Amino acid sequence: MVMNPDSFFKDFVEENKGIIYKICRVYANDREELQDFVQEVTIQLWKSSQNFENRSKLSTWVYRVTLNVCLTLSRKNKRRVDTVGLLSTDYIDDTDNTEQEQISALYAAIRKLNDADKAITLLYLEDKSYQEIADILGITVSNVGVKITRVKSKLNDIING
Amino acid sequence: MAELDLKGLWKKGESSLSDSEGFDLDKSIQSKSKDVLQKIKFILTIEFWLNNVITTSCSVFYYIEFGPFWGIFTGIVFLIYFFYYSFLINAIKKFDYAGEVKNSLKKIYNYLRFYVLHYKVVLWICFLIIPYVAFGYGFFIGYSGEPNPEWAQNTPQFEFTKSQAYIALGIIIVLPLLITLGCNYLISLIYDRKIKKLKAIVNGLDN
Repeated sequence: MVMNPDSFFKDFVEENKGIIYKICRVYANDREELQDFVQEVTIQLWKSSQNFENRSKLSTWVYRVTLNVCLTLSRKNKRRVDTVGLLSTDYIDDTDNTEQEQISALYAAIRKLNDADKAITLLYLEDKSYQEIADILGITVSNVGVKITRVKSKLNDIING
Repeated sequence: MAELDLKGLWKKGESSLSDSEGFDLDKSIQSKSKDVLQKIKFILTIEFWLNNVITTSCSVFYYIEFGPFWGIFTGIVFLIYFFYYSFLINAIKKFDYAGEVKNSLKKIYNYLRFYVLHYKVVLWICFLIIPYVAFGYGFFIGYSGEPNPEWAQNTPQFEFTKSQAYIALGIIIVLPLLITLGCNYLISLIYDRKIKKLKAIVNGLDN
């Protein structure tokens, strides 16, 4: 079946591709896998958009689909590539080196977390409220609070050695 | 590193990454899905049509050859298969990745577990129980002499030597067992890791 996305869907994905890539990058082991994940997320967003009934916010919907796809597709890291998507070619030339290292360290630290903690971390770093995180993940707000405290501590431990 | 620094770094990383360039939406949507549920749906659809063709043909054949009882009996078996496979395929069609993450992963986890169980039951029935029952029945007929159909009466008698009998027994008993265990292992190899992983994520979100 050939699917032709309408212009609304195209614009919507274009606006949200940053979110999609950010999440996929954390779960993918290499560039090839990253493209596969993004492709699958797009397919599932398109399929799901046919049934979208405005019961949840559009951003919640994007995060749910992206996380569900990434968590389902993600595999155990066979090839340890802590800096996937963070190769030197990914950066514009004038980016400060120390900053690059710090960003790489952050990504590397996130990648060391388990899949559930990665999801919490991503949503926390995306500045989502506890309520939104709870809505996306389907857990209680108090559980979100506990997990974020735990994950922040883990991240600090990893980054600071 | 302080809390604000983490979010700040994340934002800076976001603005400096450019690997979404060259993203082609039309190409993406028209690509083949790599979703595990879609793969299962594809396999189930093949089985669904195979069952439809085979059981319908059997039903008609049995009706003509052995009378209405066996024809209707196979017809009922056909209906059971039909509704069972329709249920399995529809469950995948209805699945939407837009659900809450924990619930969606739980659904996929439960579906995969059920699917693996389905295949293990099918394997044990097809490769182990049916051959053993058929062999047992043949053994019974061979030794009891009952029933003694007309075609068998005109067939020359054949008797195994001791070594032939051991070889035949070995093949009949050991081979189905090896095939069943081998296929079981393959199914576990394909799906067990994913099932365990999904369970770990759901538990991780729970605790």
